[in-house]
Amino acid sequence: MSAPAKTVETVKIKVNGKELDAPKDQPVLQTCLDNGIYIPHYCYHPALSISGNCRMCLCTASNAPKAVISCATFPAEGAEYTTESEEVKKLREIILEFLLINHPLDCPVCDQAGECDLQEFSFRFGKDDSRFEEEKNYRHTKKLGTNVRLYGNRCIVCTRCVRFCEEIAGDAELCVRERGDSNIIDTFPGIPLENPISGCVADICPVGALFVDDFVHKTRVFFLESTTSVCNMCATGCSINVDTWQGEVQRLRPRHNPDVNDYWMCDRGRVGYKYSGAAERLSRYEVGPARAGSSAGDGKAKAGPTDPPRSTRAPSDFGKALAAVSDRAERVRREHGPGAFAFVASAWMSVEEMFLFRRLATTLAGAVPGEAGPATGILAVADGEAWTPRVGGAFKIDSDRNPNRKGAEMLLLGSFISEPFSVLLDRLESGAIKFAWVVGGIPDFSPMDRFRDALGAISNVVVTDILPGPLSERATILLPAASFVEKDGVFVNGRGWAQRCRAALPPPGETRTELDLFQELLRRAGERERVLSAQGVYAELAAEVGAFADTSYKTLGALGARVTDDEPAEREPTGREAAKR
Amino acid sequence: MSRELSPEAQKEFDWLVTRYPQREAAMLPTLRLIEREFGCIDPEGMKLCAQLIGCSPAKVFGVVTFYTHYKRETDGENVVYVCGTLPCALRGSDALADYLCDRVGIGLGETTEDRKITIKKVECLALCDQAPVCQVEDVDWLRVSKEKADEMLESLGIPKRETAGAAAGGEEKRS
Ligand code: SF4
Ligand code: FES
Repeated sequence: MSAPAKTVETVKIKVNGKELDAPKDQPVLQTCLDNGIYIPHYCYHPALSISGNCRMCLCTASNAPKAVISCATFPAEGAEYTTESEEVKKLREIILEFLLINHPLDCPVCDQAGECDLQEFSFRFGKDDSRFEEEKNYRHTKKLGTNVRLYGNRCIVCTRCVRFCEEIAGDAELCVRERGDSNIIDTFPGIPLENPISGCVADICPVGALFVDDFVHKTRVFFLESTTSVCNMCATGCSINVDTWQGEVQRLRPRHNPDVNDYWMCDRGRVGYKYSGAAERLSRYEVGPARAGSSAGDGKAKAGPTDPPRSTRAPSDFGKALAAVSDRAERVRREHGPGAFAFVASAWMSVEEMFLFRRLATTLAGAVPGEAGPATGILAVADGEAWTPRVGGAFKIDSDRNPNRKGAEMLLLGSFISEPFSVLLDRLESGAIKFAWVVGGIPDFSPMDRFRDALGAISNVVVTDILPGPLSERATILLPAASFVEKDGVFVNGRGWAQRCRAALPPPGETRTELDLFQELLRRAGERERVLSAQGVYAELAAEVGAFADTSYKTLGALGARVTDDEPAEREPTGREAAKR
Repeated sequence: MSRELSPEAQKEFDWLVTRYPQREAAMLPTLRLIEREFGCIDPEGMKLCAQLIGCSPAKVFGVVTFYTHYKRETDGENVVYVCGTLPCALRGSDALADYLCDRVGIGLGETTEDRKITIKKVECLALCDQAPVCQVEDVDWLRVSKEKADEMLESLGIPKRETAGAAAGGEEKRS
């Protein structure tokens, strides 16, 4: 099913007198957009089939007697197109006047206000009045599915949402009902809009007719601050924007990235920021005494949910907690050697964090030739269900629900983690481990019972985590951590595509990022001079780890880059491409 | 509990789809078939159509509601379609609709309690030169005056008013 090697055939056209090479099988509208000539449009979307119903994209052509819609006009050799003229200006005014006939003009209470193409085009291309004096019609407001809400009155019936459901998601749950000015988007009675990427209809709706329920009446979009980042909810790692206001994430939106997610993201990922704002987030450093005489090395550790309650840890601060970590590690190393340590990483860490954690482990545990090294392992959440849209370019929902398992494979497996998890469990239970450091950072994580219980019997358990849970309960030293909306770092998706996650907010309370934490510990141990930004740490990593060589934050840019040598997966066709076959 | 076509209707459908390059293109005649088989097109009928054609029920829903002439389950035994598009509107279709509703005693889009008559305003019936136009089942009523409206209602079992004068114009009824 591989696409034939593509040589783009072009023809010469002129737009507003400027000569352009226009790809033959691409609408004039897209060619103009690609060349910085803006033509307003509603129904056209690069990932969807061409519908040509909104008429907003009208322009004049030298080879047509009347104005043509540029979204459905393919370039003819030598033709001249005009997008800026009195005639086109007039046409745009008329179209907008029509589109607004039944529109309620309720911008003050509309969540789209500020990023609405109706507002935008009215402002730029519209008339300042309307001749329509009759009564406007009324069309329903309703929930189309669990996640999506329709404000029918604002709909301009461009059918982007309908085409998305049929062509991309695949279940075609939406339709345009009735005829003429009664046209309204609806679902079939009893079959709601419930596909796993249903929220995308709100992204592509050019007006304020469709919203993801989570964002209805939450904030004004013009107050939002946007940070480009990566979704953390599965191994696809959709490119996203994290939109914040007043120190809180208000929504996540997919960002176009043809190599990762095309224009889409799943509904689960879209609300995947929720835990970061949870009231119970860990935000205080806490240090408690080492567990006394827990297992003394004789046989199996016996422990369980009856661990020291949280209250045995006293509030501390960054500096003191780090000192406690160093001191305890130092003592264990002296008394028991490197074999008494365990380091458990997480598939939710960034590559920079993994890189530093690996170093930190060697520094804290030391190494004695001929003696066993520390026990190592990695935490990850269990697989979920995979889902592939009918056509979605590179987008899919990965069954691997960890954002950086691939990164962990590249940075930790083999070099750092050489034993299977079962060996780690055996060693944790053997009583020989006196110092365990567990990095969590996984929301809703429930570790296996054996792991949890074994931790409860180890003298020193350092836990880095974001939410209270079975891990933090068993910590003797608790270090709060930053969630993905609060940290900088690179994540490698399941296909080996490395992308930058960027901090949109500061971590809660006194929390410092793991990046700072690990570096500061290394600095105190004399292993590094300075505490660097994620960019600096990445540069060190790239110099050391082959697969990342020649990449930097600069080359990764906003869209990322491939960092593995595995066979690159064949690029899946995107919507329009697939339609052409 | 899902609905099925009778063997004969199924045979007709199988023949129908052979006449179109794409299965989806056979949707309109398939809907007619279902309407004939079950008396109207209700949600179950739409689902059946979707299943036969191989598309989503929503798509069929969109098509059924686009066309005025598919009989929906909410309709009465007889549906009076009053054209409301421009030429008819200019020739008084609004007043005509009001008059009809008034005489039958229901609102526009409503059905009488005995479920005998529904009155609907529809888009163009394609007889603009004869405006205003009504349609009752398969019969077109052209240049409908009050008198002709009475006659039309009489054909549906609503007796003429005493005061109303006799109306002619039967020849303008077309089948
Ligand atoms: S709801 Fe939005 S996307 Fe759907 S047809 Fe209306 S304007 Fe277009
Ligand atoms: S964008 Fe061309 S008609 Fe809608």
